[in-house]
Amino acid sequence: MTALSATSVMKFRSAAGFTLIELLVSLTIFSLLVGMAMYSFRYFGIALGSLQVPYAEQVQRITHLHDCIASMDYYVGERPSALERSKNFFYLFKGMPGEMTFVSSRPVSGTGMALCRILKRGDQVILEEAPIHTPHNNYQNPTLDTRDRTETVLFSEVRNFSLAYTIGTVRADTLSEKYPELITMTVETENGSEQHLFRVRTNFSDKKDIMRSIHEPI
Amino acid sequence: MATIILVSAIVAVNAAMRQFTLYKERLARYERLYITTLSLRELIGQERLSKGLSRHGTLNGLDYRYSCEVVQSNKNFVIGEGEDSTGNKGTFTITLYRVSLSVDGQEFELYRTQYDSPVRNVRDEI
Repeated sequence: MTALSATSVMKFRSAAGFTLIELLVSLTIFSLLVGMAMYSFRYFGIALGSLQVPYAEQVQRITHLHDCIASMDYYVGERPSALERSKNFFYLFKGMPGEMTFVSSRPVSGTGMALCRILKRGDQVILEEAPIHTPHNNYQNPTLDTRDRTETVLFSEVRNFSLAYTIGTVRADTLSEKYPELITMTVETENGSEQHLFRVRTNFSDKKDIMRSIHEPI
Repeated sequence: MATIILVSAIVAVNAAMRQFTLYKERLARYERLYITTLSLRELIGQERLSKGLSRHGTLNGLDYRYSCEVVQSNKNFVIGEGEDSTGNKGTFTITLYRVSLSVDGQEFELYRTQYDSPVRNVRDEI
């Protein structure tokens, strides 16, 4: 009788699947795992929220671009004149609605002084840079057509790109051999339109910065 | 049992996805705020500041407002000439401004030194 009962209990247990204890234990383990996962995710979120530096590459590129334009130099180039014996000196800055050429002591790529050009090519806005003080470039009248030229993609999938230049209260689309005080860059992508403002250190209050930028980047 | 585990898993994944989307949106907002504040800093740097100056507007879809107040103002010191009752005798007035900037509810504070001349705008000298 006793042997029969034991057999029937074993059959019953195998047919039912799990006991209440097993179910409770498995549920406890499962809830602990879920809880740990949620806690770690929450902790990750807090860490992300207190992040003090730009996370995305795009933000980093824009930050570098701010540094690059803020370190714009008052670069004086020389144009050789065949007819006149004297040389023609000029400020190396050219601003157009879709293109801007300048010299910066803090280019995005590289460390030395470089001739920079921002322009839209295809659906990308590109920053071209060519170091000035190299054997492949002429520091008196530098060019971008050198083997050292680098390209950095600033914005992708751009529909419209425009630049405007402000001196005082006057806003112009074109500026040549004259330095603006503020550059307004408008970039239109499928996500909407963004405006970026870049200041060029031109006023008297920036004299210290300008003097410093001759020797070291701002 | 399988149903319970499945339902629990779906709930957990759903909660995780919702959290992830929330943090992604928060990060995107943070980035937009960062870029906009960088631009506003440039705008304030370019502007001629004065006592009580206040501006407001919208940039990149974010509302901003800034106002400035004078912290201290003094003339530059001329060596060889002592101070009289009006202070130093320098040509330039050096003023330290405190600018309070608010972008989309976030508060920032920055300081700027500005040189002014009573004779003419010293900006033209450079």
